[in-house]
Amino acid sequence: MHRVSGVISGDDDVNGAPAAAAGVSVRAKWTIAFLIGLATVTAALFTWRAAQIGSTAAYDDRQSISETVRTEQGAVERTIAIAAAAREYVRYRADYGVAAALDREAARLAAAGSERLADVSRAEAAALREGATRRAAEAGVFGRVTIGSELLQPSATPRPFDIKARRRALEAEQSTALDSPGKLNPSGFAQQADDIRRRVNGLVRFAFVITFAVLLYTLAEVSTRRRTMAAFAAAGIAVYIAAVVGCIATYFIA
Amino acid sequence: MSEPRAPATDETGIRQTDAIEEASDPLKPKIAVTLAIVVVIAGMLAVLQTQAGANESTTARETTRTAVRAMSANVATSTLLGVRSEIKAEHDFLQYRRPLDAGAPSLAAAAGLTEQPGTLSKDLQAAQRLPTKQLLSELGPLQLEAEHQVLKQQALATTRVTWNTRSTQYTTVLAVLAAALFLIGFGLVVEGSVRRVTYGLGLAIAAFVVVWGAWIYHLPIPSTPDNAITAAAQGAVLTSDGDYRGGVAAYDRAIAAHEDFATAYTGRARARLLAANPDYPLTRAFTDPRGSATAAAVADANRALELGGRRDLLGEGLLALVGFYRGDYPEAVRDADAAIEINPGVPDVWLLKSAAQLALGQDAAADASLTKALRLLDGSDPSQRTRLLAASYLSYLAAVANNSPARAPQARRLSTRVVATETAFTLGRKLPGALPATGRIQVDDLRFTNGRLSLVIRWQGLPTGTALGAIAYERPVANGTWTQPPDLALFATIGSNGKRRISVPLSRVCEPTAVRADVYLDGAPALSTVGPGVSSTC
Repeated sequence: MHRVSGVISGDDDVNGAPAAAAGVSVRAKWTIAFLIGLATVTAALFTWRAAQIGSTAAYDDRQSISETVRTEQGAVERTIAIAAAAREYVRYRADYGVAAALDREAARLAAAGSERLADVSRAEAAALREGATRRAAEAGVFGRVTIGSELLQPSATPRPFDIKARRRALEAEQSTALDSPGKLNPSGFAQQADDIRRRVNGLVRFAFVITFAVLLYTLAEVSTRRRTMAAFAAAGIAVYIAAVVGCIATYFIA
Repeated sequence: MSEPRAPATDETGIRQTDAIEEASDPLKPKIAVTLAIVVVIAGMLAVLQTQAGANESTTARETTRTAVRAMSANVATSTLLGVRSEIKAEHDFLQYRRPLDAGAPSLAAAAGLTEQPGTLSKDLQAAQRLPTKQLLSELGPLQLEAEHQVLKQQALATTRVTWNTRSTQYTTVLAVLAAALFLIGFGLVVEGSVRRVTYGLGLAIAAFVVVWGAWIYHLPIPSTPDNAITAAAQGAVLTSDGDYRGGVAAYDRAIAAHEDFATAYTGRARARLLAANPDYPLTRAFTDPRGSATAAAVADANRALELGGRRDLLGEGLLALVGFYRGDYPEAVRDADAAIEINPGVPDVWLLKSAAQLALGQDAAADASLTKALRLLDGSDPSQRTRLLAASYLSYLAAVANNSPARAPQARRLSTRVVATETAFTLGRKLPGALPATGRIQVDDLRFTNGRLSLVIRWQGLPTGTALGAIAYERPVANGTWTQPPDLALFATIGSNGKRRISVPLSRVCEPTAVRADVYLDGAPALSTVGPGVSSTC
């Protein structure tokens, strides 16, 4: 084994004499210097990894925003469609209200013996119902297939309009359309970005822990007593290993 | 002379004499350790900088997403509000459809039948049972959602800006620390007094950086709790629905949850002011300028401005309005100027400033402010908004005439200018600005009784195409200031002989104690008539 004869110590000579018991060998100094370099490179590696995965977080942010826009666009389109249907349904109901009044008028006329005038009112009511039903169907309040024969023979009472059911139907139509963007998950992308940023923060924290190892190595490097040097170096190695193992186990690899 | 002896080297090649010199300087190990400590500090600052950057990115994303959601909710709310208006229109129109129109000839009448009293109104009520609630069931939650998202977006934007600033600050600190690192490191390679100087300087900078970094770290990051945002959103919705006391209570909860919530203070100021002057949105009547609720509203507005860096136009406008109605015209002009500085494109503020300037005797400035307001409306069409602006200004001028009788002639001059402008604007043609050479006009039976304002306008011998502008005022407090409700204005083209009977229901907290009608022909004042009202309800 190669023997280092030089010592750097205020207490020792420099003539190649055996080192004093408490002295520190040059080889040990070089070893510590190497450990400092290793720790620095490791910290740099963690930082590089943080920057690398950080760009993925930026991509996830963009996706999250983009999907939020598409989700909200769909919601606005549904609301506008429902509002339009609601408007037309109100007109339909108003027409049915007037038709009912016409029917009551016809009943009063018939009761008073004015059958011909009663027929006029009845016919007007029937025409109004038919017109209202056709207009509502054309405006998309009721599907033509759904109301079927009512287009030819409108019902005496107005059809109901379930706004919640219509919203569900529109959602289904949007998600199954040919140009549907598929299942959007803006919050999922946001969550992924947050997870990555947690990792970035973790990586940088472990890099910071490694700088403590550098500090301990430096204290070892400047120590003039072998035991002190060994203690600082050992502490530095312990911190370094703990940081490396901890980082690789948690944040370095996803 | 002997030749200098070559210095001995050890196995590593290090000159032994240098090693001795280096080892003999006790400062060098200290520098090395200091250097390592500075590296640790840099690491710590890098952690803080990374955290700040990550938080900035996260809040930036959430701010954008929230803004998108706010826009979506607002569009949906506006759409459903449009539906509400149309349902109301459809509801109101039913009374004009056969056989529900009481005034139209019916088949029953044609057949000689006499309808039982109330039959028609029962039929009308049955027809008017439209499914409003069912169709608008989403409106309430949507309004709340829209307000919530808008407030959340504002809060997140503030947080995001702070994180961005924080990240930049840490970067700056790190840059300064790099200088310290250089100086201390330089101390390792130089010798003698230069070593001490560079080391000392580096140490001083490092110490400064530590203090600076700690100071930055302790600065708070503004954030608004979600329960405060929710309560403020409820306050906004309740206030816009006319439940001012409910709005104040909701804002109280918002402020209790976050005492530095500027938006909640502004909202509460508005809600308090409206609670104290409940007819203001309908009639522009400012009936309680000196009450405790108005004083509390002013305190809230001031607090909001203080918290928000005096960047809130609503707060400044509110202070200007209260100042004006309290007769503190210099204060009104100051606050209006502050509002104009925030946004000079709002005609409402220019009109208020014009009225305050008029009250101060600054006639030319008042004219200039009015001209500025009118220029801002160039290119717009007659609308509810323009009517509201005109009504507000006429109400301000009426207040000036009431509080400063010496300024009444000038107030009338500007009223005439505004009514002439509005009449021409509404009728879409230029007006002569002088009374017609022939004809006369009168207002009869002007009164407010049983919740209705009624009057009859009669004219005789007027030239064809005469522009009529009839503006009604009401006095909510006995002997108080007149106010001009936006709904009480009539613009028409008339001629020859004729009359128009007007009877409109008025729903007021402070019912008119007197009513007034100012009539203008071709943009010139023709007459002003006062009629009785009811006993004061305020």
